[in-house]
Amino acid sequence: MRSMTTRREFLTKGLTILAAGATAPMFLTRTALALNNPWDIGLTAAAAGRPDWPTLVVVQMGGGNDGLNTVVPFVHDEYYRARPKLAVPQQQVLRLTDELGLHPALKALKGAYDDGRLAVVQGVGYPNPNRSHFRSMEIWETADPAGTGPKSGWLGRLFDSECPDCGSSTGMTLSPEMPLAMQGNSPRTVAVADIARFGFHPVQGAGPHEIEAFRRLIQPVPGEEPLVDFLSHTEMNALVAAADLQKLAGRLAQDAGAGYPNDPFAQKLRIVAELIAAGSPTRVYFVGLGGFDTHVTQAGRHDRLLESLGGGLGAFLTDLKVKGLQDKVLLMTFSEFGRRVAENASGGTDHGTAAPMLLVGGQVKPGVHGVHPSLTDLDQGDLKYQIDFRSVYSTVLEQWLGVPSAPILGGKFDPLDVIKPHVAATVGG
Amino acid sequence: MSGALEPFVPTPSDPWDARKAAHLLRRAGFGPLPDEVTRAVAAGFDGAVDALFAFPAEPAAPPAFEDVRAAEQQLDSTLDSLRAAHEPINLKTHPELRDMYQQVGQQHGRALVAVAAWWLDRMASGPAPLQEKLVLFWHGHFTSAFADVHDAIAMFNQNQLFRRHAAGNFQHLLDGVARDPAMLLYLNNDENRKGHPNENWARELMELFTMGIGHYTEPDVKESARAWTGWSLQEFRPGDGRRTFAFRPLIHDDGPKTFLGQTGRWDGGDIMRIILAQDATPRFLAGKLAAYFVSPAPQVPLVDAMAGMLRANGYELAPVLQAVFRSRAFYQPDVALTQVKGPVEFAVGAVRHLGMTAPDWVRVYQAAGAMGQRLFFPPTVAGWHAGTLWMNAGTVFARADLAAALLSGRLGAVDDGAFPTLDAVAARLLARPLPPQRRATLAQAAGGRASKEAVHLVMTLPEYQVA
Repeated sequence: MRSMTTRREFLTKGLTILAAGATAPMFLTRTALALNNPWDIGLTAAAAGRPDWPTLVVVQMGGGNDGLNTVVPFVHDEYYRARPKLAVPQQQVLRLTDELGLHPALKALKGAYDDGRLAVVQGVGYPNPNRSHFRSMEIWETADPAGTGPKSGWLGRLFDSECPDCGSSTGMTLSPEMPLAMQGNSPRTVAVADIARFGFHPVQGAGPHEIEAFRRLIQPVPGEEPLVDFLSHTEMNALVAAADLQKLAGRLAQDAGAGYPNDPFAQKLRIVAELIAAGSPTRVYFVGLGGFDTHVTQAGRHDRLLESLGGGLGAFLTDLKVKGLQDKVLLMTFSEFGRRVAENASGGTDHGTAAPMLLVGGQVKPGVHGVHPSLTDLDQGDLKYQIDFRSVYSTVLEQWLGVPSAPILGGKFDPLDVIKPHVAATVGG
Repeated sequence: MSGALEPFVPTPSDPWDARKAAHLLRRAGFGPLPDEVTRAVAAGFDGAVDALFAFPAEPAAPPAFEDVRAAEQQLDSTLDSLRAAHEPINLKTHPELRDMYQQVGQQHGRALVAVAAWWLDRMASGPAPLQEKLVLFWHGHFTSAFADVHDAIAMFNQNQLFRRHAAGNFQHLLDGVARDPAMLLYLNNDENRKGHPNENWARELMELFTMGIGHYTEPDVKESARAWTGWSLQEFRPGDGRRTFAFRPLIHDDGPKTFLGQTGRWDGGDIMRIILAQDATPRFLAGKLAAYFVSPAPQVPLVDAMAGMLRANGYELAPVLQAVFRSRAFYQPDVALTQVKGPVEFAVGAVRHLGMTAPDWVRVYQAAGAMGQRLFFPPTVAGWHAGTLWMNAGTVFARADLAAALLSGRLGAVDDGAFPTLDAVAARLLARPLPPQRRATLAQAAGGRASKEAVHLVMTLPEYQVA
């Protein structure tokens, strides 16, 4: 109930200072709505360490990850013929099935696979693939390949449709910039570049009392212009989000060091695990890992990137298990595209199309799902996608988060069978 | 002229005064200062509007490109000599090339930051704030991102293109953009070839740059893409300088196309001509200009009147902008304080309000990025989501952090003399008087003094975020 306490504290302090007649803060007016909305965690929060809601962690592999060297089709001669320099030698592949195996840098994920915590969805893409980074990223983040819908993110629309009254940290990205995927109609997502610094900082020479002055100054004033009134509420909600995070940050310090590698990606996942464990109201986290645009000298670079990915995910999974959270968290990776089947003349690979997505957590149906795209029946040298990425999104939305996906994705996409049925939530409507 | 663009005529009972002048300068520039408002009042209404449009000659490039060119020349001459010796160009046999490629990349990255700093400085203290505000508008309209273009000089040249046509003629601007190397790279029209059309530019041209969605069909996009084949860049040749626009007939599809109901052997130029003749185009452009300069959701009659002027004047931009700034509607209460300052506008205005003449613009640039607007890195081809979407819990604090950093003096000297009293702070920084409660709370918190804390608090107020 800690978030509620924060809000109550805020209200008590705020309202006693306020002159009578001030407009009520946004979260007071939305309390009635929130009572019937299981999404509004901020007002229905469970105890620390035992979140009662499923949490989603989205990992973006920016630049276009080489799917063929991530999940390697090691029995196919075509793969070795197309990649005389870059192919992963058969004996180094960490075998998942008779046909496919992981890159040797993904040892931790092989462990997760053996433990039943990794699902690989093969050949994910979309029709008429676009090979521009920005356009394809935009397609994945808006879930709108035709580009005819609103320029908002699919997670932003999730918050818009399921949680119109949620607090300002329902979605969180651990970066200074809000990804398009999280952008919706109103601010329910928070970009936290540095969790320790997130909050209002007094100017040099002023003390903490400036924060209290700020709190009092931004109280809405009756009869205010609508925009200024909106900003008053946004600033007040920001203070609430900061107070929430500050309390969590206190717990983070006591809970450090679960064997995470010392690189930025793994450290972000560490913070995510600790926030979840601390009872954060955040439902969806977004973490980026960049540098996958391996046009030249891919060999060493891609190995290091996958080591970073595997090391981070492995430590995250171990940490979740230790914290008893592995059944509450689903992690999903995506990248704007895979890479061309044939390596190029510069020891790299060019922009391609379909690639695997990884789903990680205690409640996935482990295994390799779908059929590997043909290595001979290509479209302009690229793999033909087997599964529309929006089917993966609809799976996550309906079976993990328990919300109807059609309004968010602009249509019905058949979910996949990759989440254990006893957790798959029923969707009304 | 009557209707939505009916001119404002100052009268003794409704004069051209400081409130109106400050509103004009805020919208047409970045954080006006009291003496600038005073001068605009003294210049009279017509004089104040005319002064906004006195744009200077094109500025010279900032001295940021010498290192880029040196790194490129070193790489090019090495490649040349390898070719002359008939050696394969291969990073394995010539590992020194890798360092050279990296050098080129790093120098472009550094130069880009220098260009951003140079541009921010022009916004803050250049001779024509409106021109720079329009360059910022066009940068968010005709987006190109350095992350895809990888060429700081091309990004600068695009920035100069926007400056050259800032309030000029939209047809000329559009034509320049269609041939602009950064745009050709960003939307991949350099790869748009006969038989292998790339629709990226053809689509965004209609959707985001001219007509808006709903006024064309998918077949129109496909046919347009065919017409744009061959609008590309020169073949890359080492030592040949930057790749400039080149029409390449060999990859152009010169067959007949049917575009927006008209059939012919269309080329890119024909597509632009047909698009500019559509009713949707001046309306779309007028709507975006009105949302930027007037209100986020502008009145339909205003947009219609602006679109009519664009059409009547052959897409000349200055007349319609002048008509807006001279209109009675522009000075009405439903227009004032309806805009959320964008991060760049906030940052540049803050620097000006604090009387800083030579701040650390690189840090300011980074701070604007933390607030959600990193120049030359628009988040998508659709540009930045403006208005209330600028503000979330993270960006609220990022704004407060920049204000604190500026006030600390670490990013450059602050003119403390600009803030003699608390009321002077409010008058200099805010678009309207503080409500009595806030004035009292502020006075109590700051002990009645115009301390740095008081200035910081004013800069974090909701009313400081609006224009």
